[in-house]
Amino acid sequence: MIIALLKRELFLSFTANGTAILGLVFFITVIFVSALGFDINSTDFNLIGPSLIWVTALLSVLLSAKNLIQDDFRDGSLDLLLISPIPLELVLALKAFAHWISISLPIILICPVISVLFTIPFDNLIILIIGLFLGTPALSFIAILGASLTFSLRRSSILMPILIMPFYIPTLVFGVKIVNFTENTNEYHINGLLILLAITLLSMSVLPFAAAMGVKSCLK
Amino acid sequence: MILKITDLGCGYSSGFSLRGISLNLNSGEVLILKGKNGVGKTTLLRAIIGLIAINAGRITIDGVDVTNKLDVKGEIFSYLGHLNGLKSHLTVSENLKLWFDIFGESNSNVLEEFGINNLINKKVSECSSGQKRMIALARVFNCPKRVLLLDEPMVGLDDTNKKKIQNKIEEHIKLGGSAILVSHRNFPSNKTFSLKSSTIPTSSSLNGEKDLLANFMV
Repeated sequence: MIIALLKRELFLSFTANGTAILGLVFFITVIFVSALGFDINSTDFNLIGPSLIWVTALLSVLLSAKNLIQDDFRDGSLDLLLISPIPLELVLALKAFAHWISISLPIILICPVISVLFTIPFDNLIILIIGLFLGTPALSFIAILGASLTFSLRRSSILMPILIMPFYIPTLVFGVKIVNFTENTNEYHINGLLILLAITLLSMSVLPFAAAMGVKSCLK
Repeated sequence: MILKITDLGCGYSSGFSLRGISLNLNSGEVLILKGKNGVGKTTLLRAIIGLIAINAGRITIDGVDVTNKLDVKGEIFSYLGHLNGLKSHLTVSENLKLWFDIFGESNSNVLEEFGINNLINKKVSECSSGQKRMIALARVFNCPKRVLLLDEPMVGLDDTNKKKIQNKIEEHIKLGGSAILVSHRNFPSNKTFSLKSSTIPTSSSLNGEKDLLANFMV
């Protein structure tokens, strides 16, 4: 049943809603357009790449987060999910996990190709990919919290970024800094990655419960 | 006895609320919720299933208190609200499969009975409102739980389909199930519950004044 729900969310993201394609197309477009705007001979060019990849990945998550719950609310599916045998907290956690698979995972997979544009050194690319892999799940779990508080509002697309952006800052700062910091020691990288992992684990363990409370309070 | 509601109170944060609802529903019974538009029939149905928090009274099923226990209620009730829970950009079969995988699928030939076999590869957006309602009802009747909670199930249906749904409900009742329907249509049933007025809160009504008169007529 849990697998069935995960399959449902992935199916809706990849085929029906087109959320996954939208996220990836947005990511590639922004990266390419931004790369054209920078001076390729600049010494800072390889430093810009990881920052831009992180920021664009964050914006891709944000762009697609609005529909995490709202579509189900509008067509009545949310009521059925609420009375399904799966606890609401788990439903929301699975939604966030499916959102990560459909938005962030394709971005992580395409990173080696994108890194060529910015001539990111191989060592930095590895750190960037591990950082994205550990950090981006937190973005989807934070997004589900934002979606749970705004799905019943008409102008949720305005309110949601304002609401959840402050929670994205720690992940973004650590994600970018561990790649770009001048003092590139292994210890520094490992500590940074552990902090990203800690943020993600905290998000995964706490936010589905907070989001479930948000959904229930919005239905009142 | 299956379902007993005692002095139930619930409402929305916007102010609309119901108070003092008491009713019983036994196996093999159909209860029709009647009342004017906006009186709170849907609210009552959503409170029973647990989609709205109950702030007074209790709901018991076979003597077990299930008030505000959404996870338990899902195993006892099959619910269909105003909205059909269908994704318009998916085909009928894709939509049904998504729900069958979660709620379970029986070997019943409900799709054939409801005449939606020939729609199976059609996108829901291309179906009429009556067809969409039949697809949503097919989800319910494919694997019905003990108590059916149906909010205006016959809306948009032609006479033939209305008869099919009526027969299906009667079949469910004969098998020992029961149903609570919100319906303006006359339906052969054991019981009718009439909501006569709703509480639109004012400062006086919030001070404990009971505006809602709920009569239970057998």
